[in-house]
Amino acid sequence: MPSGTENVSYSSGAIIASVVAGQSSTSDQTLTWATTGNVPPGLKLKIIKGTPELTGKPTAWGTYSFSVSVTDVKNYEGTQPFQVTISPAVTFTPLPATASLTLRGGSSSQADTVLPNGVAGTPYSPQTISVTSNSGISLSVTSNSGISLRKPGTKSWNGLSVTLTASNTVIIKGTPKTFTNPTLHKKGSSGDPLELTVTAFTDDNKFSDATTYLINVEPASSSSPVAIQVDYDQTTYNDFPTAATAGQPYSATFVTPTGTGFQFSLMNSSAVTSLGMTFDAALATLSGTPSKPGLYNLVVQAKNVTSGVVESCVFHLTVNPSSPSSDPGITPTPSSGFTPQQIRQAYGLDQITLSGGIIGDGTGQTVVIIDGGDAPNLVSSNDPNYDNSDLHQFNQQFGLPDSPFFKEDAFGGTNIPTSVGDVGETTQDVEWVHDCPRRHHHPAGV
Amino acid sequence: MSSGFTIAPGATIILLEYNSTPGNTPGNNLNNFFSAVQTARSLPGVSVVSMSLGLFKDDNKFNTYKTSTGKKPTNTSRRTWIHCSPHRPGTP
Repeated sequence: MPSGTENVSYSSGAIIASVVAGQSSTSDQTLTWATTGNVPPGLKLKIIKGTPELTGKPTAWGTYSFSVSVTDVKNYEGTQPFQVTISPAVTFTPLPATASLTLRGGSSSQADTVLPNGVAGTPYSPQTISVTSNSGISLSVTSNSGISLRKPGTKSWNGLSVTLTASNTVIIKGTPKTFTNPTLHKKGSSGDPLELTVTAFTDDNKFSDATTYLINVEPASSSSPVAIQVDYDQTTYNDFPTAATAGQPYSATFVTPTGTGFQFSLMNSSAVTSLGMTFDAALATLSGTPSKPGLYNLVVQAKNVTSGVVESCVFHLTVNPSSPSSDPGITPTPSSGFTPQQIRQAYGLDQITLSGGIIGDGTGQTVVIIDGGDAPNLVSSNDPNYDNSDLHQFNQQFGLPDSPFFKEDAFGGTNIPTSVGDVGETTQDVEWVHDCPRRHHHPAGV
Repeated sequence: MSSGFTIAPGATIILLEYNSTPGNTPGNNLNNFFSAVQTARSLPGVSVVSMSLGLFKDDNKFNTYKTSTGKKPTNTSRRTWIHCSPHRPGTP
């Protein structure tokens, strides 16, 4: 079938029903014609002087596959597949990814044409969209972010300028501010990519064609994702703030990987102001004297002032009582802290009744503990030095069994970190996980 | 109380130590941490994974780890993830 051109009158010429004629035994040669499949929008099958032709003015470019069928009065049927290519009347550069989006006279869908991604905080390689036609046209530019240019001019989006020129080109340049991944953005900010629709109108305003271009902005490489941590002493950083004590001055400063160029905010400042504490945004420091013990969630936000990248983290601040519990059921040891038995009593774990054959000592279960850095005072239970390790000493002191214990690197291997971590915390994690509720544990499958 | 106070003396304990070098960038330490998380989720027969640290509010990356290796959970592959504030030396 001959090719056509968008918005130009088209005729396929006669379509011959070669299958039907010999099949019917009746003298009634009345035939019924139909099309199935993807017929170019704007074209229809017409019977001209007893012969079918595909005619009309195509409204969308593309390659179309369809079939023409013919049926006689006795329901004998013949079908012939056809393919026709319709060239665009308006040429977009870069070329559209798929068939044209026709705004008038037809309906077809078009996938976005993807332009190169930008990077937040990095100058974007300028992109030029040009539109040509064999007839006079004018352009308009619209976007999902509210850009609307009906005549030459410039609008901006996320640090990029979008300019429509009098010579039917659209130029995009600038430095994008914020990356466009909605799932990584703070709630309330869309983070949507730019969808820029360029529409060409013929001068007689009877035909228009459009293409939508898509621009995504990636996060700056140094800030994806932004890690917010607590600065102990400008050399040591950690993923959590140290515990505070009620009635004693406290301070914690938050940092990011690049160190500078971030604006910090405490998103839920009311959580700490009720404690008598304040958050200094300029110093990114939480300080004050907490008035009451408890566990408080701090939602800290860091915004890259250059790229606009925003990230939030939740920190859990523990405020301990100013003195050990006065619970009459617990007697602190003369040294420090509580015995395993006291802890079980304090948490009521010794009051839990188990059933279903569950012993409750964790036998058959495996617990993984993840900590940063090495605790050299802990060694695996199959290590020759295990008897000198803290865990064994702990078990001896409190009459606990030496259950299997393995110390491994992050990958399950033996390359233990050379840097020493928070030994006290890691040791305590292991020992209290090992020890605590002798008659209670998660049953199998939990 | 430390991060994983709910377990038991009869249980096998695996301590995964990730490289968290003081002075290292927080981002590098974070990647090392996720390596340990990845290992924890793939170890067989694990009931509980305990971590002494706070987590991201937008923790989609972490959430992708908090299942076993992409398979439908079974009684042997489900595990409990615990992360909370740490105990610090010198505090109860």
